[in-house]
Amino acid sequence: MKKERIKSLILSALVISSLLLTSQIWFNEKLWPEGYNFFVNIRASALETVAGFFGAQEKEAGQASVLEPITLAAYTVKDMDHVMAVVNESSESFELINDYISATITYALTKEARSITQVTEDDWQRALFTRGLYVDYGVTYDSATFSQVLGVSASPLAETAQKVRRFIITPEESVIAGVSVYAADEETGAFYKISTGLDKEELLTNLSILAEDASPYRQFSFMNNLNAPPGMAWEAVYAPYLVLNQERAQYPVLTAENPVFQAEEMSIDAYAVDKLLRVFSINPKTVRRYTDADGSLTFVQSQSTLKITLDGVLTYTTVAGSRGLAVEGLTAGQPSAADVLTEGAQIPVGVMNAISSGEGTKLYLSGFEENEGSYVVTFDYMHQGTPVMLGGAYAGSNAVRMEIEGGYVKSYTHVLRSYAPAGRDMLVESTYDAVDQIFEGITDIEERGKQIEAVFVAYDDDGGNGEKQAVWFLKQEGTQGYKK
Amino acid sequence: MMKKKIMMAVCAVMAVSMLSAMCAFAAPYSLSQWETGNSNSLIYIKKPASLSATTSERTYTVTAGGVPGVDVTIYRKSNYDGNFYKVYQGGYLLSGTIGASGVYVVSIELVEGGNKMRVYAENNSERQIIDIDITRLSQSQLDRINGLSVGDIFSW
Repeated sequence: MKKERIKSLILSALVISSLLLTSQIWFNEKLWPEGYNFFVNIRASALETVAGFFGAQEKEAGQASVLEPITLAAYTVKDMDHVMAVVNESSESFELINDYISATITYALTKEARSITQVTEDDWQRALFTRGLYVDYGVTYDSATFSQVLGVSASPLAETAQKVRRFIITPEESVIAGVSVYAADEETGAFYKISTGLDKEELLTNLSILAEDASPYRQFSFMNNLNAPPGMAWEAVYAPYLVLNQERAQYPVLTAENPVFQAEEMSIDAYAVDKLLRVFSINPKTVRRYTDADGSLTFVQSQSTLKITLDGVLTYTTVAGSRGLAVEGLTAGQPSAADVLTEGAQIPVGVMNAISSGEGTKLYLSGFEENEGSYVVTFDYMHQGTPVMLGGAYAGSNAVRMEIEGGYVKSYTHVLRSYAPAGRDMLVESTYDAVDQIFEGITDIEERGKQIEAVFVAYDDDGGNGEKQAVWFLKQEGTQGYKK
Repeated sequence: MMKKKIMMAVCAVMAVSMLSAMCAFAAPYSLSQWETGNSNSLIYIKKPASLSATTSERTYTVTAGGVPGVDVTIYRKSNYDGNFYKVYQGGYLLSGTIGASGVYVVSIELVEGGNKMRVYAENNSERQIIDIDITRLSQSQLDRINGLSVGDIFSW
């Protein structure tokens, strides 16, 4: 009897240890450094599903906006003063105002050509002095492409203005007149006014909502003659339509991290890699994978290569465009620029959905170039409407750069980052104080005289993990890069 | 004993001269309407470019270009004695130092009617005075202008 009991105990111990060892072999990522681990990915997927059942917050879907207002200013009269509010995604009314702007501009683009009149820059400036909405999309679009992105296939404006970026929506003063839309032609410097005939009540209501947070200490630079040529002091000269703030403002501090690197295991998150591969239609089960000496993972399938570095840079390249990833929704051959923008934006969205970029983080279109049927599209990060500028090892890079040729992705680079509020705010100085500080580093007279063509607050991301602060960035005409 | 007295006298002279130097650099509390400066190269007004303006707004932004490091103080003319006095707004003195960009910006709250302001710039021993005149239209004046028709303009 005693012998039987000992045998049973030993047998039980052996069964238990074999189960434990098997689970280690199946689920320990370190034992599968080179290969696709089916079980690791099943576990991660199951954990995600179970977490969802127990009410874990669903990850916010990634967003890549191709028509993001980089500057959206509402100006009106309050308490006998001209006041201005700057609206971005952190504002409660952003979605309402942005939808109104898109709908109004779209309607204006459909108007007949006789509703479009060329006006002077004085008229444009007068429109900014009264009441209205000013929007700058940051990227200069071909007029036809801009119209098509908004769903207007053939706009009379496209026959008149070549390139657009900035618009004004203003209620006309006459009792019977409605809303007018002004557009600036970035190519020729001409200005156009479109009388839409739309009722101005909705615009006036929107302006009265925005007036609550508006300030008389925010103005366009031309209103204060700060775009005039410098005088004896060789003072700074601003481009005419920059929004300058005399007051300090509050911004949340962010924390940033590399979302694919697991610090405790000094390796890239295998589950995230699996999802990223699928975005590029790469089969994780059959792809050939290599680990470089620096820990980067390289995947090769057909004539495409996808590489993910330890510092979170994803690069996809292909030998020739037609052998790359087909962009869903694009016809092979010569897709239109508008389709390239709207459909191509789904790829960075897919990448953001595969990793956790943080709630409130999105990508916005920062550049778009066409060269003989090939398109180079760049996106950058923004968090709650404030752009993120990449620095450090990523200095000079955009968050996303993709080249699309003939409906296929020829190359794609994405700096994978995740941003979240750090739980505290910081005060950022006024535009004028910031420019003073930046100009302390500019001693060359000729450089001082170069017009400031952009000055804005952005998060300074040096590429490391940790807190990122909002700082002022400045760009002068004819210079590369930004000063801060 | 003598040495001590001499040392004390020297210290007293130094203290007085330093105090007077400080007093000379700080902008005075008031300026006579006839006061003129001794420089015209410290600052120049960008807005209002003609040194006078008419507005319906309650707040008017004055901008200037000037030498970095120059101290600028805003004065308002008193209707009582014609002298100019420092302006306080929201508890703060309207005063600042021109920064490295060379741009000076200040927003001034206006009263209805005439607002004769003085921009006082100083740097070491140089002082520059520029007078500007901003007229703020009253509500009744605004209403009359808004109600003006072509017939009114040509009526006798």
